[in-house]
Amino acid sequence: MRHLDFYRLFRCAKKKTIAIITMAALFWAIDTSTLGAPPSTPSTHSPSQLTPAQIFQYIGEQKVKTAAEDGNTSSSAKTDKTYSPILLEPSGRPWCVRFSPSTRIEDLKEPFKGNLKRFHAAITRAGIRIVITTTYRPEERSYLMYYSTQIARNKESAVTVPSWQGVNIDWGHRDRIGFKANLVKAKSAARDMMFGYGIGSMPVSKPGRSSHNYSQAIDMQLSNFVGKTVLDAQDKSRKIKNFIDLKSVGASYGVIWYGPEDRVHWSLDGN
Amino acid sequence: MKILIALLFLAAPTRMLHATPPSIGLWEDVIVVDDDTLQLISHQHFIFTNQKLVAPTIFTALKDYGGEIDAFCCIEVQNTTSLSALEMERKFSHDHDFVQRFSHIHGLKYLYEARLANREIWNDKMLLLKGNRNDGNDIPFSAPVIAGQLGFSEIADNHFSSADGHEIQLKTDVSKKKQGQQLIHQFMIEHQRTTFTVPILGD
Repeated sequence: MRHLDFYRLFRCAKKKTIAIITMAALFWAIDTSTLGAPPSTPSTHSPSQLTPAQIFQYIGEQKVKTAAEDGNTSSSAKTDKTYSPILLEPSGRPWCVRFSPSTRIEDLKEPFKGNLKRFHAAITRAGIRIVITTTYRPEERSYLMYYSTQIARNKESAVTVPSWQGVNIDWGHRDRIGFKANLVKAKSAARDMMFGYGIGSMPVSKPGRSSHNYSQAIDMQLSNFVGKTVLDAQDKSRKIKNFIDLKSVGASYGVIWYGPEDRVHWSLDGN
Repeated sequence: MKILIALLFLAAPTRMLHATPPSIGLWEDVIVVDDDTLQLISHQHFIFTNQKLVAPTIFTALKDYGGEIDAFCCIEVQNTTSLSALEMERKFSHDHDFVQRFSHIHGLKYLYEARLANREIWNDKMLLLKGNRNDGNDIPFSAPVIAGQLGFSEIADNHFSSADGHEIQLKTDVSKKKQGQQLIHQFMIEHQRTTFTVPILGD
């Protein structure tokens, strides 16, 4: 299907009437070109089953691809600019419940999992209250968190966000007929997502640049710790007077506190 | 009178020894990622300093946990040709976050390319922080630094002595500004205060 280069053909057809004629020609071309040629990959949708909206979608993708090829020739394993022409879903709050983060210690990886289990057991025994908010965070979620924040904070245009494999999101809220982006809707939806993730004014790291993506970090709120006695990793009783004492006990188990700028974040290496 | 002159004469070398306070600054472990492809472009270490470096220098990074300081040994500057932050921003303009971050580091005049010191001199904190990371899974890091190799990896309170005997105090505060949260690092070296600010890293 790609060798026909529908986008270039479409680019020539600027007027509405010509566009309609072009569309008819495209349908005819798709049907005839696929009679004897199966799709190149099993996951590719059969072009003969494409709706007009999907064809516009494809044209838009080709536009993005052409723009990317003009300025940059590199490619990525994670960012996928040549995915098959399927319908994308506009950004917005419903995305916040997808690619959910885990709150289970079991979803972490060794050696951090074992370290944390021992620390968790020690502080629980001591009567310290723990609320876990995140352990493993999928990269897809980091991608959604990062770009919703970038768009909401005017640091990125909704139409230039790179795609991410497996996340069929339409950041631009494109019109299904004219394939035009609606930047007002896009920003409002991104802001909704940012609030949905509870980001507030906090900075967000790029996907793949958080220890949560590697199952080596936990976000947990600890309370009711002052005056408690906790056993450290060397089985020594430690009286907890303040948070620094907890940091020290955590470190003995190989659970390192990040610091006051991110009070809930603990990881294998302190990052 | 003679005794006084003799005492002044004896004290002079000691005063000279303490005359120049150690360079202080900021270590930026930067992962430059292309905005279009999200691919790693470069992994760089930079050190911002308050003084011009005249010779290759070893630095110890410090992190104030609010009542306890951890020290990470060590990072070094080999090439003492200072860099222009603006030029670095231009060089890595494909990473919008990098440009944003670098343009919001205030209070330190000089910038140098740095690298992790020879692993043989790393202390336990540095081994923990950088020992198991490679470019593929590395996470950006930032911490204040002081010239010299400090003799501790963890110290209670905010006071310590530098490698050449200066009394140092380090305090880090989190400030909330309109543009986002930032860290305010403040060094006090024998009553001389140096303050610099840096945006908080994302998680």
